[in-house]
Amino acid sequence: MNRYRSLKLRSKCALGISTGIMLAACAYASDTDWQMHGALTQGVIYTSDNNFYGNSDDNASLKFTEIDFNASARLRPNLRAAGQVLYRHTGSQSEGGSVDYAFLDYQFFTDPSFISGIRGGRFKVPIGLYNETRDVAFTRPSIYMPQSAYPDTARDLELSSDGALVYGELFTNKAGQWTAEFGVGQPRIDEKTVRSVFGFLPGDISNVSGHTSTVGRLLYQSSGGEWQASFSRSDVRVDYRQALAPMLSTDIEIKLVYWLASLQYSLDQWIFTGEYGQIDARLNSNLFEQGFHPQAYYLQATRRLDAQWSIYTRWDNLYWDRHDHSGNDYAALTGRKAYANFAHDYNLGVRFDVNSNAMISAEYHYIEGTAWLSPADNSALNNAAKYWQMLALEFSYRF
Amino acid sequence: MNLYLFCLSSPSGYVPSTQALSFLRLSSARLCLWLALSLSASLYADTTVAIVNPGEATHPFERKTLRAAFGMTLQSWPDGQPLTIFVFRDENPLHQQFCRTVLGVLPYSLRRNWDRLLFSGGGQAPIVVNNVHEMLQRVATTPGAIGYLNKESVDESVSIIEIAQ
Repeated sequence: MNRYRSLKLRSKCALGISTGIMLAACAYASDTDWQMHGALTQGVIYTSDNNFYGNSDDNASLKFTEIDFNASARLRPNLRAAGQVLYRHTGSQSEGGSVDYAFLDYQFFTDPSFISGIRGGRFKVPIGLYNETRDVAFTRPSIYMPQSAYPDTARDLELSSDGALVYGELFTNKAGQWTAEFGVGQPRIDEKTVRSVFGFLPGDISNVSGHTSTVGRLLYQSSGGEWQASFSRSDVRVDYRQALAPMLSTDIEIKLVYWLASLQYSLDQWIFTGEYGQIDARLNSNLFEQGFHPQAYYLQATRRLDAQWSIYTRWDNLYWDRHDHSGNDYAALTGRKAYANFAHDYNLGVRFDVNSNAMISAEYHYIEGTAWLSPADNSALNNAAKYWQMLALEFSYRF
Repeated sequence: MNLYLFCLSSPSGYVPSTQALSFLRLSSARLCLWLALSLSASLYADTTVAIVNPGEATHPFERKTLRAAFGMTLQSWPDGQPLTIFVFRDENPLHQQFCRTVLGVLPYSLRRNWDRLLFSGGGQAPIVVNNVHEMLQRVATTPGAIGYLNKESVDESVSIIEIAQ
């Protein structure tokens, strides 16, 4: 618990420091040099069974709120300060405010064909096409992120990191734009995330701490923006103490490698997106060793009807063990339901952009399996329904 | 037929494939109308130009550099002067024309990149102006500024960016 408090304290310090930097920056900068933006999102979730983002089982849950506020200031032509505070409430899984990012960005090389720089502080973890802006409704491909490649239960593992990120971008006339990023830092992670992802043992989890982790992404965008392709790989280290019985606990070390390949093709009226990822995680303690090998992929098609209306459909799949798609081995080993080990989410959605500042969207989901349900929202997870449906509504305003 | 070829090979470059497909289904009367509209769109498109504060070098720009500037990833000029980008709102026809014909990018993909930068701290958003007068005035008075306009609206207070082919 102390570790969690110190994490919160660290967040508060970072909040104070970043606010200070922002205010100082604003005082010195002219109106073309500093900007403030933000977004406010409220959603409603209704499910036929099981709980998602609050108590949604046969009930309209309003526990889906996101408020973010960011500022960016150009201190010198090649030096920028940027920061964002985020309040997010998604059921019992996540509630509270935090500094989402706060860093100084120094571009040490600028040329009409190539730029390169470094960000120091708390930076967003660049994974796939969406991870950096996963909490901003306008940038998401749907009301909630595809839970295979971007599960909410494991969100904190790859959210933002305290350290440094170097980047380089190459611009070409015909061969598109290439971006390479590499970051080293300490992930922000707490007991709740560890319990959601690795909580297969019944005892208490404490002393969670993130260790030096790395992330890298190579992103290609074709010259006209039609094609986007990326490959990302992150290597996250976390350790914590697991209580097994009264007076018996063990220290566990997690090493988690996640790679994600992404491809998107955009036309005037169509957007096709696919992402495929795999995780290899190893838990080590002096008492046992355990490996995890999840697999995630989805395909989405979005049809832009006009400047305001779009409709989309997605087929989203998550397996906690890619060598056990049926979940039968898992069920035999643990006595839990086989379908807790996978989830297939079929989704239809519609989005209406009222104007460039406001949007509304609505979605229907048919889901088989419970792999990405949060234990924080589902106290009796082992009795969760295998087949369930969801209606989701969302309103978002940005400025 | 010549007209049709002209439309497809016009320097505006960007002809949506759906338009080409629907061409097959058009009746001859509508075809003429479509040709006329496409031609006028091409002529109109040709007149959209990128403009720059006269304090900056007016040497020919390569398209990649203009794309990087409007993509908000290139943040300063080679001489160290900060780059400031002025645009009209996303739905403005001139903005759409500029994206497609001068930058050669899908307008909504530009917005997608801006939002990614804006909400991850990777960059700033371009500054939105509301009318031609404001565009001229802001570009003319902001050192290192770039914007765009219809060629007819450009006056001597700003310089036109020549794009190297």
